Amino acid sequence: MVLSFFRGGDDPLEAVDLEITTMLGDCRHSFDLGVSTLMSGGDDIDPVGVEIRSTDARINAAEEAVRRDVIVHSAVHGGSDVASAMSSVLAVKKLERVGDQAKNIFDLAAEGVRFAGSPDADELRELANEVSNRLGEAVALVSPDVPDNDAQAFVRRCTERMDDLDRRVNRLIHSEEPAHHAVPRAMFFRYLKRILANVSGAVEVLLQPVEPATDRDE
Amino acid sequence: MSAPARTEDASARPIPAPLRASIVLALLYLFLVGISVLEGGIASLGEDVQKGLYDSVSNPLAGLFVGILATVLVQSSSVSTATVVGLVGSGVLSIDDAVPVIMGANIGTTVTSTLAALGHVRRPHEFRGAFAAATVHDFFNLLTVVVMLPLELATGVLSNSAEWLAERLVGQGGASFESPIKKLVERPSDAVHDLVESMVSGTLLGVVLMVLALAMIFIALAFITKNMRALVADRIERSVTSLLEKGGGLGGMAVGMVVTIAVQSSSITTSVLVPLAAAGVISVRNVYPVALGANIGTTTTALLAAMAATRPEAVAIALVHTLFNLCGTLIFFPVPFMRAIPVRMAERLADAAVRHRTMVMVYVVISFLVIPALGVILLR
Repeated sequence: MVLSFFRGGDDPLEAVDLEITTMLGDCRHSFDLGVSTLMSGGDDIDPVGVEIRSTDARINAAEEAVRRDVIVHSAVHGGSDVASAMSSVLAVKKLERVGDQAKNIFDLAAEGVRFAGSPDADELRELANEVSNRLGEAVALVSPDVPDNDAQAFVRRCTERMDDLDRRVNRLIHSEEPAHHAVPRAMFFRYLKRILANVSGAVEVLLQPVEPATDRDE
Repeated sequence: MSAPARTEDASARPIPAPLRASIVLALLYLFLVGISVLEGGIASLGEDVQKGLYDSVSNPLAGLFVGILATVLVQSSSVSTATVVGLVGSGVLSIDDAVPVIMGANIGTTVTSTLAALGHVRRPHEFRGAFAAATVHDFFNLLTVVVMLPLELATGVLSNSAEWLAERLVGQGGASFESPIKKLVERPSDAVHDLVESMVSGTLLGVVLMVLALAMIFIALAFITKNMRALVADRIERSVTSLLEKGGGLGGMAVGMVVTIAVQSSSITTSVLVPLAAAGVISVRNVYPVALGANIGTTTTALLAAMAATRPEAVAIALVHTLFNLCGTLIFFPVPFMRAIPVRMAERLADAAVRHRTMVMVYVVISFLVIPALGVILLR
């Protein structure tokens, strides 16, 4: 381990950026697996469950690693990087929740819910694809070279879809549909909304960890 | 995404690395000149003052307490050990009398990490780990003194071994040795001496030279540490991350040694570990070997100082510092039972400290200031 002192290398916080990128990839993988189980008509879902749980364990381990790296960074460098250190911790906490929500979607399938063959299957698949694409876009957005405008546009698109998902949940709450139809869909929409909220929140805190003080200037 | 971009360390980053490295070399030169000026200053003191200095540490326990107190007051064992090297190099102190002072400096240096641990005192779950990580260094140094000081007084094992080694390195004792570094620092040292001599004379000349020399040593070491920390911070971070992944042991000791040699301060190395222990990402057992490595690494300062000294005894006392820490490590590290002693003592003290948090500051003041000060007053 002493060799790591003599070995040259990048800024140690770049390792944190890499962890965040890997976490986002894992979140998308977990989400796609959960959704595909829900959308397909297959019954043998155990191998998918194993894969989702191991991916979730990887996500949790990455979150721990980032928190540890940030503590080490702060201990060595003091407070000079406090903003980016804090934003990294906030972002990985949100991404860890995305991993949990992807697992929740799989749990719906494990309870026997299947959207395959239902009249709204295409619409649900389209919504899921959109969320999956947002997770893919977020990978590119956490790069330090991406212009702020792109990130802000991303957050705006996520917010619009979240509002739409909220309306869908409200409609289902007041609908006359039977519970076995309305409840899984309401839960699915709710998970999609939470995933979008967390991924856009992660991008947002990486962009701007706290409200700029200038907003409160006289 | 540009907004969260790493906020650059305004005080550190604007200086390019090659320039900072050059500054460090210049400061190192200033440090060595300071040692040479100190030797000259001590030589210029009247015989009475020299005898007073000698008498103040002729009792080994008084010497030990002087070492603790001086190090606590300057917050740097590097400054105090470099000063001892200067005193021995000028012939005012014998190696035998300087050994307890060096041991005391080793104990005194641990106050910095203990003070760092106090930053966590209001959060008990953090404070336990932080205080144990800080005091494991205290206990190792205390236990090593408990074992090595009587042994040294009875047999002279450290001083004799160091003199034997120094003879092999620089030649016979009692004569001056031809250090190339000494030659490099002679001219500016003589210039300072001549300048001060043109204004004052006698004992006052010695006092002024000593104050100037100590200021040069203190400033040089402080800025060497500051600049080297900025230069190697990313490397320290990678080493610590690797340490957390792989655990302590000999690798941890090597990390402690290398980092301390790089930043010329064991306090920096051990203080970095305190917040990590507070956060629970490193255990006291893994902090321990790093502290031992830091103890060994910090002895390079005295060895560097000896390079600028006139007499081979200066090299010998610097080697005593290294041998003392190596012996302590050999006693309290390889055997698991012995290794556990300082760790358990630190953990128990930390448990007690968590229960009586208001007493912790009292413990620090009494251990590092009151007892050494009383020792110096009563035993000199």
